[in-house]
Amino acid sequence: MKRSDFIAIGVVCGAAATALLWHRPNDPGTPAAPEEMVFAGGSSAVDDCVGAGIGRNTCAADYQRALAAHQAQAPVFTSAEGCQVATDSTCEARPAAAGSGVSAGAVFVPVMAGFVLSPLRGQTGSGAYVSTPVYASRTTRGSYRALADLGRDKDDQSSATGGAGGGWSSNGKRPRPATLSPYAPSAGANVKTSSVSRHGFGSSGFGGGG
Amino acid sequence: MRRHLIEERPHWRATAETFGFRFADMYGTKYWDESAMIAFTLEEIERHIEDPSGDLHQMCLELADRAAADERLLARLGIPGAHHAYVAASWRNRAQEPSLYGRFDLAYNGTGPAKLLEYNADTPTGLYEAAVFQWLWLEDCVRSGALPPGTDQFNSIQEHLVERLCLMPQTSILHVAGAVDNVEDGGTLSYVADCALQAGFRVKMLAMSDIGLDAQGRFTDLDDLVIDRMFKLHPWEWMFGEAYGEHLAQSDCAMMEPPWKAMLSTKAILPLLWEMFPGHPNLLPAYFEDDPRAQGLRDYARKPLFSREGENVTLVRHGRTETVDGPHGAGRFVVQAATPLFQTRHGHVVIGSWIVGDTPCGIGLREDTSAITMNMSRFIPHIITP
Repeated sequence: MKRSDFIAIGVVCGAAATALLWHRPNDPGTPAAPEEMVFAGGSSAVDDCVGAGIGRNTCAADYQRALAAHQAQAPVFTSAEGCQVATDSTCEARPAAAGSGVSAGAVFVPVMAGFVLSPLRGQTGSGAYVSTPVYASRTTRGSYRALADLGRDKDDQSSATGGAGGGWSSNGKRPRPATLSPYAPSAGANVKTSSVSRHGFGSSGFGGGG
Repeated sequence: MRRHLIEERPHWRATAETFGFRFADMYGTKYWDESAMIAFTLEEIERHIEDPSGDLHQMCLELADRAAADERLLARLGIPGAHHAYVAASWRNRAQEPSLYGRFDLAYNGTGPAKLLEYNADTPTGLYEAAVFQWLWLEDCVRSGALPPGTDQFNSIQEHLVERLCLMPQTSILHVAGAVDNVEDGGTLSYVADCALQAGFRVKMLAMSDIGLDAQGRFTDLDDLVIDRMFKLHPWEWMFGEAYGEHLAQSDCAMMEPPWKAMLSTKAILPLLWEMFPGHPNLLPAYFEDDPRAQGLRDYARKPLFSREGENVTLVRHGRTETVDGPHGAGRFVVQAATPLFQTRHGHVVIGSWIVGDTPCGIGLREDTSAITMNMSRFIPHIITP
Protein backbone atom coordinates (compact mmCIF):
# COMPACT_ATOMS: atom_id res chain seq x y z
CA MET A 1 0.00 0.00 0.00
CA LYS A 2 1.31 3.44 -0.91
CA ARG A 3 -0.48 5.23 1.90
CA SER A 4 -0.28 5.12 5.68
CA ASP A 5 -2.90 2.93 7.26
CA PHE A 6 -3.23 5.26 10.20
CA ILE A 7 -2.68 8.92 10.99
CA ALA A 8 -3.50 10.88 14.14
CA ILE A 9 -4.73 14.40 13.71
CA GLY A 10 -4.80 17.08 16.35
CA VAL A 11 -7.42 19.74 15.94
CA VAL A 12 -5.11 22.15 14.17
CA CYS A 13 -4.30 25.11 16.38
CA GLY A 14 -6.91 23.81 18.79
CA ALA A 15 -6.61 22.11 22.12
CA ALA A 16 -3.76 19.83 21.21
CA ALA A 17 -1.50 22.62 20.08
CA THR A 18 -2.00 24.96 23.01
CA ALA A 19 -2.82 23.10 26.17
CA LEU A 20 0.01 20.63 26.42
CA LEU A 21 2.91 22.94 26.50
CA TRP A 22 4.64 26.04 27.57
CA HIS A 23 6.33 25.89 30.92
CA ARG A 24 7.74 23.11 32.94
CA PRO A 25 5.59 22.17 35.88
CA ASN A 26 6.79 24.02 38.99
CA ASP A 27 5.65 21.30 41.29
CA PRO A 28 7.03 17.91 40.39
CA GLY A 29 4.20 16.32 42.37
CA THR A 30 4.31 12.98 44.08
CA PRO A 31 7.44 11.06 43.17
CA ALA A 32 6.80 8.07 40.99
CA ALA A 33 7.38 4.65 42.40
CA PRO A 34 11.12 4.07 42.01
CA GLU A 35 10.67 1.16 39.67
CA GLU A 36 8.60 3.23 37.24
CA MET A 37 10.10 5.95 35.07
CA VAL A 38 7.84 8.46 33.35
CA PHE A 39 9.17 10.47 30.44
CA ALA A 40 6.76 13.25 29.60
CA GLY A 41 6.03 16.91 29.98
CA GLY A 42 9.24 18.42 31.28
CA SER A 43 11.10 18.14 28.04
CA SER A 44 10.56 15.76 25.17
CA ALA A 45 9.83 12.21 26.19
CA VAL A 46 12.63 10.72 24.15
CA ASP A 47 15.23 13.23 25.34
CA ASP A 48 14.21 12.81 28.96
CA CYS A 49 14.71 9.10 28.45
CA VAL A 50 18.15 9.70 26.94
CA GLY A 51 18.91 12.00 29.87
CA ALA A 52 18.19 9.11 32.21
CA GLY A 53 21.12 7.25 30.71
CA ILE A 54 19.20 5.06 28.28
CA GLY A 55 20.45 4.97 24.69
CA ARG A 56 18.66 7.13 22.12
CA ASN A 57 17.72 4.22 19.89
CA THR A 58 16.29 2.33 22.85
CA CYS A 59 14.34 5.41 23.93
CA ALA A 60 13.03 6.01 20.42
CA ALA A 61 11.93 2.36 20.24
CA ASP A 62 10.24 2.63 23.64
CA TYR A 63 8.47 5.74 22.47
CA GLN A 64 7.31 4.00 19.31
CA ARG A 65 6.04 1.02 21.31
CA ALA A 66 4.05 3.32 23.58
CA LEU A 67 2.73 5.17 20.54
CA ALA A 68 1.62 1.90 18.98
CA ALA A 69 -0.18 0.96 22.21
CA HIS A 70 -1.77 4.38 22.26
CA GLN A 71 -2.98 4.06 18.69
CA ALA A 72 -4.39 0.58 19.23
CA GLN A 73 -5.80 0.90 22.73
CA ALA A 74 -6.48 4.51 23.70
CA PRO A 75 -10.14 5.01 24.59
CA VAL A 76 -12.21 6.48 21.79
CA PHE A 77 -15.05 8.93 22.24
CA THR A 78 -17.60 10.44 19.96
CA SER A 79 -17.16 13.95 21.38
CA ALA A 80 -14.13 15.96 22.51
CA GLU A 81 -15.91 16.99 25.68
CA GLY A 82 -16.84 13.45 26.64
CA CYS A 83 -13.26 12.43 26.09
CA GLN A 84 -11.89 15.22 28.27
CA VAL A 85 -14.31 14.52 31.11
CA ALA A 86 -13.74 10.79 31.11
CA THR A 87 -9.96 10.86 30.76
CA ASP A 88 -9.05 14.19 32.38
CA SER A 89 -6.76 14.71 29.37
CA THR A 90 -6.63 17.03 26.42
CA CYS A 91 -8.16 15.23 23.45
CA GLU A 92 -7.61 15.28 19.72
CA ALA A 93 -9.59 14.16 16.71
CA ARG A 94 -8.84 10.97 14.88
CA PRO A 95 -10.52 9.70 11.72
CA ALA A 96 -13.06 7.02 12.55
CA ALA A 97 -11.96 3.58 11.46
CA ALA A 98 -13.96 1.76 8.86
CA GLY A 99 -16.67 -0.30 10.46
CA SER A 100 -16.61 1.63 13.73
CA GLY A 101 -20.17 2.71 13.22
CA VAL A 102 -19.26 6.39 13.48
CA SER A 103 -20.48 8.17 10.38
CA ALA A 104 -19.18 11.71 10.75
CA GLY A 105 -15.60 10.67 10.13
CA ALA A 106 -14.09 11.73 13.47
CA VAL A 107 -13.67 10.29 16.92
CA PHE A 108 -11.72 11.72 19.85
CA VAL A 109 -8.86 10.26 21.82
CA PRO A 110 -6.69 11.64 24.62
CA VAL A 111 -3.35 13.14 23.54
CA MET A 112 -0.41 10.94 24.45
CA ALA A 113 2.06 12.99 26.49
CA GLY A 114 4.89 10.52 26.78
CA PHE A 115 5.58 7.05 28.07
CA VAL A 116 6.23 5.14 31.26
CA LEU A 117 8.68 2.30 31.59
CA SER A 118 7.46 -0.27 34.12
CA PRO A 119 9.15 -3.49 35.14
CA LEU A 120 7.43 -6.62 33.92
CA ARG A 121 5.18 -7.96 36.62
CA GLY A 122 7.21 -9.92 39.17
CA GLN A 123 10.47 -9.10 37.45
CA THR A 124 11.57 -5.93 39.23
CA GLY A 125 15.33 -5.68 39.02
CA SER A 126 15.62 -8.04 36.07
CA GLY A 127 15.87 -5.19 33.59
CA ALA A 128 12.83 -6.39 31.69
CA TYR A 129 10.24 -3.68 31.33
CA VAL A 130 7.29 -2.57 29.22
CA SER A 131 6.67 0.83 27.68
CA THR A 132 3.14 2.20 27.76
CA PRO A 133 1.68 5.63 26.99
CA VAL A 134 0.90 8.26 29.63
CA TYR A 135 -1.55 11.16 29.48
CA ALA A 136 -1.23 14.58 31.10
CA SER A 137 -3.81 15.39 33.73
CA ARG A 138 -5.82 18.54 33.06
CA THR A 139 -6.76 18.99 36.71
CA THR A 140 -3.44 18.09 38.37
CA ARG A 141 -0.73 20.03 36.59
CA GLY A 142 2.46 18.13 36.02
CA SER A 143 0.87 14.77 36.75
CA TYR A 144 0.30 11.92 34.38
CA ARG A 145 -1.86 8.86 34.16
CA ALA A 146 -1.09 5.54 32.57
CA LEU A 147 -3.26 4.12 29.79
CA ALA A 148 -4.66 1.49 32.16
CA ASP A 149 -5.91 4.17 34.54
CA LEU A 150 -7.88 6.29 32.10
CA GLY A 151 -11.35 6.51 33.59
CA ARG A 152 -12.44 2.94 33.50
CA ASP A 153 -12.84 -0.01 35.80
CA LYS A 154 -10.96 -3.23 35.58
CA ASP A 155 -14.20 -4.83 34.41
CA ASP A 156 -13.91 -2.90 31.16
CA GLN A 157 -10.59 -4.53 30.40
CA SER A 158 -12.03 -6.88 27.82
CA SER A 159 -13.30 -4.01 25.70
CA ALA A 160 -9.98 -2.19 25.68
CA THR A 161 -8.47 -4.14 22.85
CA GLY A 162 -9.61 -4.23 19.28
CA GLY A 163 -8.36 -0.89 18.02
CA ALA A 164 -10.04 2.45 17.50
CA GLY A 165 -13.74 2.23 18.07
CA GLY A 166 -13.34 -1.01 19.98
CA GLY A 167 -16.01 -0.54 22.56
CA TRP A 168 -15.01 2.55 24.49
CA SER A 169 -17.55 5.18 25.17
CA SER A 170 -18.02 7.95 27.61
CA ASN A 171 -19.60 6.26 30.62
CA GLY A 172 -19.28 9.16 33.05
CA LYS A 173 -16.77 7.33 35.20
CA ARG A 174 -14.01 9.51 36.54
CA PRO A 175 -10.43 8.57 35.90
CA ARG A 176 -8.23 7.50 38.77
CA PRO A 177 -6.25 10.28 40.39
CA ALA A 178 -3.11 11.08 38.47
CA THR A 179 -0.02 10.10 40.38
CA LEU A 180 2.80 9.66 37.91
CA SER A 181 5.29 12.50 37.75
CA PRO A 182 7.91 12.94 35.08
CA TYR A 183 11.59 12.23 35.23
CA ALA A 184 13.45 15.49 35.98
CA PRO A 185 14.08 17.29 32.71
CA SER A 186 17.50 18.32 31.47
CA ALA A 187 18.73 21.82 32.35
CA GLY A 188 20.20 24.41 30.01
CA ALA A 189 17.52 24.44 27.33
CA ASN A 190 15.52 27.57 26.50
CA VAL A 191 17.19 29.61 29.26
CA LYS A 192 15.42 32.69 30.55
CA THR A 193 17.00 35.89 29.31
CA SER A 194 16.15 39.53 28.62
CA SER A 195 15.36 40.78 25.17
CA VAL A 196 17.03 43.99 24.06
CA SER A 197 14.98 44.37 20.89
CA ARG A 198 12.15 42.74 18.98
CA HIS A 199 10.57 42.71 15.48
CA GLY A 200 13.86 42.18 13.63
CA PHE A 201 12.28 39.63 11.33
CA GLY A 202 9.19 39.91 9.20
CA SER A 203 9.81 43.21 7.42
CA SER A 204 10.17 41.63 3.96
CA GLY A 205 6.68 40.32 3.75
CA PHE A 206 3.85 38.47 5.31
CA GLY A 207 3.13 34.91 4.38
CA GLY A 208 6.24 33.42 2.89
CA GLY A 209 4.86 30.00 2.08
CA GLY A 210 4.49 28.77 -1.43
CA MET B 1 -3.37 9.29 -15.46
CA ARG B 2 -6.97 10.39 -15.87
CA ARG B 3 -9.25 13.03 -14.46
CA HIS B 4 -12.58 11.70 -13.12
CA LEU B 5 -15.62 13.51 -11.83
CA ILE B 6 -16.77 12.23 -8.45
CA GLU B 7 -19.54 13.19 -6.09
CA GLU B 8 -18.53 15.43 -3.20
CA ARG B 9 -19.01 13.97 0.26
CA PRO B 10 -22.10 15.66 1.70
CA HIS B 11 -20.40 16.30 5.06
CA TRP B 12 -16.97 17.36 3.85
CA ARG B 13 -17.21 20.91 5.14
CA ALA B 14 -18.11 19.62 8.62
CA THR B 15 -15.18 17.23 8.42
CA ALA B 16 -12.93 20.12 7.41
CA GLU B 17 -14.17 22.04 10.43
CA THR B 18 -13.51 19.10 12.77
CA PHE B 19 -9.99 18.65 11.52
CA GLY B 20 -9.11 22.32 11.54
CA PHE B 21 -8.92 22.74 7.75
CA ARG B 22 -9.69 26.44 7.83
CA PHE B 23 -8.61 27.29 4.31
CA ALA B 24 -10.79 24.85 2.34
CA ASP B 25 -12.18 28.05 0.85
CA MET B 26 -9.76 30.89 0.22
CA TYR B 27 -10.18 34.39 -1.14
CA GLY B 28 -13.91 33.73 -1.51
CA THR B 29 -13.52 30.73 -3.75
CA LYS B 30 -13.16 26.99 -3.38
CA TYR B 31 -9.60 25.80 -2.79
CA TRP B 32 -10.24 22.18 -1.81
CA ASP B 33 -12.12 20.68 -4.76
CA GLU B 34 -13.31 17.09 -4.39
CA SER B 35 -15.71 17.27 -7.31
CA ALA B 36 -12.90 15.71 -9.31
CA MET B 37 -9.94 13.43 -8.75
CA ILE B 38 -6.91 12.30 -10.69
CA ALA B 39 -6.43 8.55 -11.01
CA PHE B 40 -2.95 7.08 -11.48
CA THR B 41 -1.69 3.58 -12.05
CA LEU B 42 0.81 2.24 -9.53
CA GLU B 43 3.39 2.15 -12.30
CA GLU B 44 2.87 5.85 -13.03
CA ILE B 45 3.32 6.71 -9.38
CA GLU B 46 6.33 4.54 -8.68
CA ARG B 47 8.27 4.76 -11.92
CA HIS B 48 7.38 8.23 -13.09
CA ILE B 49 6.88 10.26 -9.90
CA GLU B 50 8.34 8.55 -6.82
CA ASP B 51 11.65 7.33 -8.27
CA PRO B 52 12.39 10.53 -10.22
CA SER B 53 11.62 12.59 -7.10
CA GLY B 54 14.21 10.62 -5.17
CA ASP B 55 16.71 11.11 -8.00
CA LEU B 56 16.04 14.84 -8.19
CA HIS B 57 16.52 15.14 -4.44
CA GLN B 58 19.91 13.40 -4.65
CA MET B 59 20.92 15.65 -7.57
CA CYS B 60 20.01 18.70 -5.48
CA LEU B 61 22.10 17.42 -2.57
CA GLU B 62 25.03 16.99 -4.94
CA LEU B 63 24.62 20.57 -6.11
CA ALA B 64 24.48 21.76 -2.48
CA ASP B 65 27.62 19.79 -1.68
CA ARG B 66 29.51 21.48 -4.52
CA ALA B 67 28.15 24.93 -3.76
CA ALA B 68 29.05 24.76 -0.07
CA ALA B 69 32.69 24.53 -1.12
CA ASP B 70 32.54 27.10 -3.92
CA GLU B 71 31.88 30.79 -3.24
CA ARG B 72 31.31 31.46 -6.93
CA LEU B 73 28.55 28.86 -7.05
CA LEU B 74 26.97 30.25 -3.87
CA ALA B 75 26.87 33.67 -5.51
CA ARG B 76 25.24 32.23 -8.65
CA LEU B 77 22.62 30.60 -6.40
CA GLY B 78 21.81 34.03 -5.04
CA ILE B 79 23.23 33.65 -1.50
CA PRO B 80 24.43 37.07 -0.28
CA GLY B 81 28.19 37.15 0.36
CA ALA B 82 27.72 38.00 4.05
CA HIS B 83 25.93 34.66 4.56
CA HIS B 84 28.17 32.31 2.56
CA ALA B 85 30.00 31.06 5.65
CA TYR B 86 26.74 30.57 7.59
CA VAL B 87 25.14 28.54 4.80
CA ALA B 88 28.26 26.48 4.11
CA ALA B 89 28.76 25.72 7.82
CA SER B 90 25.18 24.55 8.04
CA TRP B 91 25.77 22.13 5.18
CA ARG B 92 28.85 20.69 6.91
CA ASN B 93 26.81 20.36 10.10
CA ARG B 94 23.76 18.89 8.37
CA ALA B 95 23.66 15.83 10.63
CA GLN B 96 22.69 18.24 13.43
CA GLU B 97 20.66 20.55 11.18
CA PRO B 98 18.56 18.11 9.20
CA SER B 99 15.99 19.10 6.63
CA LEU B 100 12.37 18.31 7.39
CA TYR B 101 10.70 18.62 4.03
CA GLY B 102 10.49 20.04 0.53
CA ARG B 103 8.19 19.92 -2.47
CA PHE B 104 9.15 19.39 -6.09
CA ASP B 105 6.71 20.79 -8.61
CA LEU B 106 6.61 18.38 -11.52
CA ALA B 107 5.08 18.48 -14.98
CA TYR B 108 3.72 15.04 -15.82
CA ASN B 109 0.83 14.07 -18.05
CA GLY B 110 0.96 10.30 -18.00
CA THR B 111 3.39 10.01 -20.89
CA GLY B 112 7.13 10.43 -20.83
CA PRO B 113 9.27 11.32 -17.84
CA ALA B 114 8.13 13.88 -15.26
CA LYS B 115 9.95 17.19 -15.59
CA LEU B 116 11.13 19.37 -12.72
CA LEU B 117 9.47 22.80 -12.86
CA GLU B 118 10.88 24.04 -9.56
CA TYR B 119 11.82 23.03 -6.05
CA ASN B 120 10.12 24.58 -3.02
CA ALA B 121 12.92 23.50 -0.72
CA ASP B 122 12.49 26.07 2.04
CA THR B 123 8.90 27.17 2.68
CA PRO B 124 6.56 24.80 0.85
CA THR B 125 2.87 24.94 1.72
CA GLY B 126 -0.05 22.77 0.70
CA LEU B 127 1.24 20.25 3.21
CA TYR B 128 -1.83 19.73 5.39
CA GLU B 129 -4.26 19.20 2.54
CA ALA B 130 -1.91 16.70 0.88
CA ALA B 131 -0.95 14.81 4.04
CA VAL B 132 -4.23 14.85 5.95
CA PHE B 133 -7.35 16.01 4.20
CA GLN B 134 -6.63 14.09 1.03
CA TRP B 135 -6.01 10.97 3.12
CA LEU B 136 -9.28 11.44 5.02
CA TRP B 137 -11.11 11.95 1.75
CA LEU B 138 -9.93 8.60 0.42
CA GLU B 139 -10.74 6.77 3.67
CA ASP B 140 -14.23 8.27 3.58
CA CYS B 141 -14.79 7.39 -0.07
CA VAL B 142 -13.68 3.78 0.39
CA ARG B 143 -15.79 3.45 3.54
CA SER B 144 -18.90 4.80 1.85
CA GLY B 145 -18.39 2.64 -1.23
CA ALA B 146 -17.89 5.63 -3.53
CA LEU B 147 -14.51 4.13 -4.39
CA PRO B 148 -13.79 0.39 -4.56
CA PRO B 149 -11.87 -1.39 -1.81
CA GLY B 150 -8.19 -1.53 -2.61
CA THR B 151 -8.15 2.01 -3.96
CA ASP B 152 -4.89 3.53 -2.77
CA GLN B 153 -3.08 6.85 -2.63
CA PHE B 154 0.57 7.89 -2.69
CA ASN B 155 0.59 9.42 0.77
CA SER B 156 2.56 8.53 3.85
CA ILE B 157 3.59 12.16 4.31
CA GLN B 158 2.48 12.56 7.92
CA GLU B 159 3.97 9.26 8.99
CA HIS B 160 7.32 10.42 7.62
CA LEU B 161 7.01 13.90 9.13
CA VAL B 162 6.40 12.53 12.63
CA GLU B 163 9.14 9.95 12.25
CA ARG B 164 11.60 12.60 11.06
CA LEU B 165 10.73 14.92 13.94
CA CYS B 166 10.99 12.00 16.35
CA LEU B 167 14.66 11.53 15.52
CA MET B 168 15.62 15.17 16.09
CA PRO B 169 17.14 16.32 19.39
CA GLN B 170 14.22 17.36 21.57
CA THR B 171 15.92 18.85 24.62
CA SER B 172 14.43 22.26 23.76
CA ILE B 173 11.05 23.61 22.85
CA LEU B 174 10.43 23.69 19.10
CA HIS B 175 9.42 27.26 18.31
CA VAL B 176 7.19 27.33 15.24
CA ALA B 177 7.35 30.78 13.64
CA GLY B 178 5.79 32.47 10.66
CA ALA B 179 2.75 34.38 9.50
CA VAL B 180 0.50 32.75 12.10
CA ASP B 181 -2.41 35.05 11.21
CA ASN B 182 -2.31 34.23 7.51
CA VAL B 183 -4.92 31.56 6.86
CA GLU B 184 -2.78 29.36 4.62
CA ASP B 185 0.61 29.77 6.32
CA GLY B 186 -1.08 29.58 9.73
CA GLY B 187 -2.58 26.27 8.67
CA THR B 188 0.80 24.88 7.68
CA LEU B 189 2.38 26.17 10.91
CA SER B 190 -0.33 24.61 13.08
CA TYR B 191 0.01 21.34 11.26
CA VAL B 192 3.78 21.23 11.71
CA ALA B 193 3.26 22.05 15.39
CA ASP B 194 0.80 19.17 15.62
CA CYS B 195 3.24 16.72 14.02
CA ALA B 196 6.02 17.93 16.35
CA LEU B 197 3.74 17.32 19.35
CA GLN B 198 3.06 13.81 18.16
CA ALA B 199 6.80 13.30 17.80
CA GLY B 200 7.28 14.24 21.44
CA PHE B 201 8.35 17.89 21.15
CA ARG B 202 7.12 20.70 23.30
CA VAL B 203 5.94 23.34 20.85
CA LYS B 204 5.37 27.05 20.95
CA MET B 205 4.00 29.07 18.05
CA LEU B 206 4.83 32.69 17.45
CA ALA B 207 4.69 35.35 14.75
CA MET B 208 7.94 35.88 12.91
CA SER B 209 7.87 39.56 13.81
CA ASP B 210 7.53 38.76 17.53
CA ILE B 211 10.97 37.17 17.68
CA GLY B 212 13.33 39.19 19.89
CA LEU B 213 17.05 39.39 20.48
CA ASP B 214 18.98 39.29 23.78
CA ALA B 215 22.27 41.02 24.59
CA GLN B 216 24.24 37.93 23.57
CA GLY B 217 22.65 37.92 20.13
CA ARG B 218 20.34 34.98 20.78
CA PHE B 219 16.77 34.94 19.50
CA THR B 220 14.03 35.06 22.12
CA ASP B 221 10.31 34.39 22.33
CA LEU B 222 7.68 36.60 23.95
CA ASP B 223 8.39 35.03 27.37
CA ASP B 224 12.08 35.96 27.00
CA LEU B 225 13.10 32.33 26.65
CA VAL B 226 16.02 31.69 24.32
CA ILE B 227 14.91 30.02 21.08
CA ASP B 228 17.19 26.99 20.66
CA ARG B 229 15.37 25.30 17.80
CA MET B 230 12.96 26.90 15.37
CA PHE B 231 10.77 25.85 12.48
CA LYS B 232 10.24 28.94 10.35
CA LEU B 233 7.87 29.44 7.43
CA HIS B 234 9.75 32.54 6.35
CA PRO B 235 12.03 32.36 3.31
CA TRP B 236 15.79 32.43 3.85
CA GLU B 237 16.26 35.15 1.24
CA TRP B 238 13.99 37.37 3.34
CA MET B 239 15.70 36.52 6.63
CA PHE B 240 19.13 37.29 5.20
CA GLY B 241 18.03 40.79 4.30
CA GLU B 242 16.10 41.65 7.46
CA ALA B 243 17.38 43.48 10.55
CA TYR B 244 18.21 40.31 12.51
CA GLY B 245 19.85 38.71 9.48
CA GLU B 246 23.29 39.77 10.71
CA HIS B 247 22.73 37.86 13.99
CA LEU B 248 21.86 34.54 12.36
CA ALA B 249 25.36 33.08 12.40
CA GLN B 250 25.94 33.86 16.10
CA SER B 251 22.43 33.05 17.31
CA ASP B 252 23.19 29.39 18.06
CA CYS B 253 19.65 28.59 16.93
CA ALA B 254 19.02 25.39 14.98
CA MET B 255 16.70 26.31 12.14
CA MET B 256 14.28 24.22 10.14
CA GLU B 257 14.50 24.33 7.20
CA PRO B 258 18.24 24.66 7.83
CA PRO B 259 20.28 27.47 6.23
CA TRP B 260 21.75 25.06 3.67
CA LYS B 261 18.28 24.76 2.12
CA ALA B 262 18.76 28.38 0.96
CA MET B 263 21.07 26.92 -1.69
CA LEU B 264 18.19 24.90 -3.16
CA SER B 265 15.17 27.15 -2.71
CA THR B 266 16.01 29.29 -5.71
CA LYS B 267 15.24 28.87 -9.38
CA ALA B 268 18.99 29.25 -9.93
CA ILE B 269 19.19 25.49 -9.31
CA LEU B 270 17.40 24.94 -12.64
CA PRO B 271 20.25 26.11 -14.92
CA LEU B 272 22.88 24.73 -12.52
CA LEU B 273 21.30 21.26 -12.43
CA TRP B 274 21.07 21.33 -16.23
CA GLU B 275 24.76 22.24 -16.30
CA MET B 276 25.67 19.36 -13.96
CA PHE B 277 23.31 16.79 -15.47
CA PRO B 278 22.81 17.86 -19.10
CA GLY B 279 20.06 15.94 -20.84
CA HIS B 280 18.77 14.27 -17.66
CA PRO B 281 15.28 12.95 -18.47
CA ASN B 282 13.66 14.71 -15.48
CA LEU B 283 15.19 18.11 -16.19
CA LEU B 284 14.24 20.77 -18.72
CA PRO B 285 16.87 22.84 -20.53
CA ALA B 286 17.39 25.97 -18.43
CA TYR B 287 19.77 28.92 -18.47
CA PHE B 288 20.40 32.12 -16.61
CA GLU B 289 18.78 34.90 -18.61
CA ASP B 290 22.12 36.52 -19.48
CA ASP B 291 23.41 33.23 -20.94
CA PRO B 292 23.37 33.49 -24.76
CA ARG B 293 21.94 29.97 -24.95
CA ALA B 294 18.74 31.30 -23.36
CA GLN B 295 18.02 32.98 -26.70
CA GLY B 296 17.77 29.57 -28.31
CA LEU B 297 14.61 28.60 -26.41
CA ARG B 298 11.51 29.26 -28.46
CA ASP B 299 8.85 28.16 -25.94
CA TYR B 300 9.92 28.95 -22.41
CA ALA B 301 9.06 30.14 -18.93
CA ARG B 302 10.96 33.13 -17.54
CA LYS B 303 11.13 32.95 -13.74
CA PRO B 304 12.68 35.20 -11.08
CA LEU B 305 15.25 33.52 -8.82
CA PHE B 306 12.95 34.12 -5.86
CA SER B 307 9.17 34.24 -6.14
CA ARG B 308 6.15 32.32 -4.94
CA GLU B 309 2.76 31.35 -6.33
CA GLY B 310 3.79 32.07 -9.92
CA GLU B 311 4.52 35.73 -9.29
CA ASN B 312 6.48 37.49 -12.04
CA VAL B 313 6.54 34.35 -14.17
CA THR B 314 6.21 34.83 -17.92
CA LEU B 315 5.25 31.93 -20.16
CA VAL B 316 5.97 32.18 -23.89
CA ARG B 317 4.47 29.47 -26.10
CA HIS B 318 3.79 29.45 -29.82
CA GLY B 319 4.58 33.16 -29.92
CA ARG B 320 1.97 33.96 -27.26
CA THR B 321 2.93 35.49 -23.93
CA GLU B 322 1.23 35.04 -20.53
CA THR B 323 2.50 36.94 -17.49
CA VAL B 324 1.62 36.93 -13.81
CA ASP B 325 2.33 40.21 -12.06
CA GLY B 326 4.20 40.35 -8.80
CA PRO B 327 6.68 42.18 -6.64
CA HIS B 328 9.78 40.23 -7.67
CA GLY B 329 10.47 41.94 -11.00
CA ALA B 330 13.82 43.44 -10.02
CA GLY B 331 16.36 40.62 -9.44
CA ARG B 332 17.86 37.99 -11.69
CA PHE B 333 15.84 35.62 -13.87
CA VAL B 334 16.23 32.16 -15.30
CA VAL B 335 14.74 30.87 -18.52
CA GLN B 336 13.46 27.29 -18.68
CA ALA B 337 12.13 25.38 -21.68
CA ALA B 338 8.33 25.10 -21.63
CA THR B 339 6.76 21.67 -21.26
CA PRO B 340 3.14 20.53 -21.50
CA LEU B 341 1.28 19.98 -18.23
CA PHE B 342 -1.49 17.46 -17.74
CA GLN B 343 -4.38 19.28 -19.36
CA THR B 344 -8.12 18.80 -19.59
CA ARG B 345 -10.87 21.25 -20.40
CA HIS B 346 -10.94 22.00 -16.67
CA GLY B 347 -7.39 23.27 -16.60
CA HIS B 348 -3.75 22.38 -16.06
CA VAL B 349 -2.47 20.15 -13.27
CA VAL B 350 0.91 20.46 -11.54
CA ILE B 351 2.14 17.65 -9.29
CA GLY B 352 3.63 18.64 -5.95
CA SER B 353 5.88 15.75 -4.92
CA TRP B 354 6.75 15.78 -1.22
CA ILE B 355 10.15 14.83 0.13
CA VAL B 356 10.37 14.30 3.89
CA GLY B 357 13.93 13.89 5.05
CA ASP B 358 15.33 12.14 1.98
CA THR B 359 12.23 10.14 1.12
CA PRO B 360 9.59 10.86 -1.53
CA CYS B 361 6.40 10.00 0.32
CA GLY B 362 3.36 11.56 -1.32
CA ILE B 363 1.86 14.01 -3.77
CA GLY B 364 -0.65 16.86 -3.85
CA LEU B 365 -2.14 18.11 -7.08
CA ARG B 366 -3.11 21.65 -7.97
CA GLU B 367 -5.30 22.52 -10.92
CA ASP B 368 -5.42 25.97 -12.45
CA THR B 369 -7.18 27.38 -15.47
CA SER B 370 -3.92 29.16 -16.25
CA ALA B 371 -0.80 27.26 -17.28
CA ILE B 372 1.02 29.17 -14.54
CA THR B 373 0.00 27.70 -11.17
CA MET B 374 -0.90 30.47 -8.76
CA ASN B 375 -2.33 30.81 -5.28
CA MET B 376 -5.85 30.72 -6.72
CA SER B 377 -5.40 27.22 -8.04
CA ARG B 378 -7.52 24.39 -6.63
CA PHE B 379 -6.27 21.34 -4.76
CA ILE B 380 -7.75 18.12 -6.14
CA PRO B 381 -7.26 14.70 -4.54
CA HIS B 382 -5.73 11.69 -6.27
CA ILE B 383 -6.03 7.92 -6.15
CA ILE B 384 -4.07 4.92 -7.29
CA THR B 385 -6.47 2.61 -9.06
CA PRO B 386 -6.62 -0.93 -7.65
